[in-house]
Amino acid sequence: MLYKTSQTVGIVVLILTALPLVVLIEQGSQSLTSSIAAPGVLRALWTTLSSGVLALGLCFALGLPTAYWLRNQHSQGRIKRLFAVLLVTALLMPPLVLGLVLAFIMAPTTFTGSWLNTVNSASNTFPALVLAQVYEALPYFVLTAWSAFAMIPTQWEEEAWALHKTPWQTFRFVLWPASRPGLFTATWMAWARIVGAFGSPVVVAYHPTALPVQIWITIEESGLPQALALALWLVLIGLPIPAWLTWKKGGIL
Amino acid sequence: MSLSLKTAGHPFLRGEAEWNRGLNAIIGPSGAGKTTLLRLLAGLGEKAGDIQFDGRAWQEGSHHVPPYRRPMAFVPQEPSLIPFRPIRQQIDWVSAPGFKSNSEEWAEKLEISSVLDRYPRMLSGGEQQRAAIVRALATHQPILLLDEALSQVEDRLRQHYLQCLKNGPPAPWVLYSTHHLNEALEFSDTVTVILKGQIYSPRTPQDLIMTPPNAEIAWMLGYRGSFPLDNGRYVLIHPSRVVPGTHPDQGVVYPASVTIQPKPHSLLSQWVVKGHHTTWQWELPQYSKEWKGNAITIINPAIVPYPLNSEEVLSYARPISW
Repeated sequence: MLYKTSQTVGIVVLILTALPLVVLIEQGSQSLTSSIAAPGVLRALWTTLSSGVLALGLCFALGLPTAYWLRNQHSQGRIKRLFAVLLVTALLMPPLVLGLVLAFIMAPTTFTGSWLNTVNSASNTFPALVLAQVYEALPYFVLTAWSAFAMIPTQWEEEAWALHKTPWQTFRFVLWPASRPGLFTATWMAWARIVGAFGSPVVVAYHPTALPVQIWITIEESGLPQALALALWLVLIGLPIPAWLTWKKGGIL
Repeated sequence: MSLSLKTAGHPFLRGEAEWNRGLNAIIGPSGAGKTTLLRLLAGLGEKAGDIQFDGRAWQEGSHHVPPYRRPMAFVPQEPSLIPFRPIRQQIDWVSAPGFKSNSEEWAEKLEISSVLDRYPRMLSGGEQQRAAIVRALATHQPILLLDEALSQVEDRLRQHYLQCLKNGPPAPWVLYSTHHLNEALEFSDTVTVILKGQIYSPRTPQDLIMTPPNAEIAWMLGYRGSFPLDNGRYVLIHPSRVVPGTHPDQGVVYPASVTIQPKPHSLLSQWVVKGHHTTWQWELPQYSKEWKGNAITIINPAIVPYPLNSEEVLSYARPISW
């Protein structure tokens, strides 16, 4: 009885979940090639890719050491708890709120903003876009990488140290290969967030326009069908690799 | 050149010890602190106490030399071999460059040559432990710390391997913990006893047997009672150093009512010795006909300044099994 009920519910949920993707592919593919020719779209695609790669690199470079450091904190340590709360809060922060805060920080009226503005205008720049993307994706990366590291027993590491291997050598021979699947997941989760970042870029980096903002502009200017085609582009950039990795791993995390 | 330890400031361990070259055993019941001690020496866990080796401080106040900078290799009780790498790859990884590898030879001695190309999960518990030892030896460090590293190996083989370690020590310093008293006595140059965190400095097995530092250790060593010899000196009674009857030429004679009888359904003999105030009972792994007498002789007696007949210890005086 329980199985039957859950099966029925499960199948309905599966269909509901797949529906948007099916509709998107069906509708979007009709004007996939023509949509790219519209003014500003190719540029937006390029902006998304270039800023995305940079933001992903930053997430990796900043997130990996952070996750490693957190893993090696004492299990009941205050820093660890504090960081976990901070990261979860950052993760759940509505992107629009994040964008507003970033915009405030970059405004010429604040200390940081005025300082930034001596070099260049802070908001509506390529760095501002990258920053907004990093802010949206970094908590995902750190939390996932942290859990990937945390699954590896500290004993493996300690034993390698006690066999005359430095932490760096141990990281390369033991920790990195063991946590690689988890780190891949972290990376592509971050990538999906970066590529899809809309809430905060729309506030702090309307220009240079990345794909999500471009989709918004397209809805307003050309209507839904064109926007759906662009949305399919966005999904094609962001999601195939995470989907493939999940398939390869044979399930969820 | 020696490895010395002072535990002042450690939350659990107490006492001091100094180990010289050779095979050094650390014995104590489980939970006594053997693992804590070895991990402390390895630089894992608590950063407390004072550890010096060859004139260099490994641990002194806030100065802490990390494990990978100490000239030692440590094998924990539960070997955490890296599960996704074959044993040989792990051995090659830790192998000290520039040394002629002796891993093949030790793999041969510890009988794991045939499994070197396998992954850890394909090995039995005992094989994993031996693989972990061979891996540790490949580091070519002068100090080898083994934490019950052969506990999952069956007795006969473990004794064979200990003999190998004794005959051709793979490292100048070997510190190994065990709860097998007889093996520690037979194969080691020194024995360090540890009880409830208290470390008793290393002694030779002979010294430890003949002059146990206190009643508790005497009990651990198998002594089951004592009687006064003269003012302030006591003779300890060890079941394996007792012969029935009066034999003044062989040792100290103690008048007591003795009954020895075969234990039913076993190959053991049961001894009941009634002294002046105390009755001791024990079993020995030798079958005998029933025998009654009025004295026992303690061969090669251990003479100590404390009794082993206190009420507290008496309560332990039930048959012991071998």
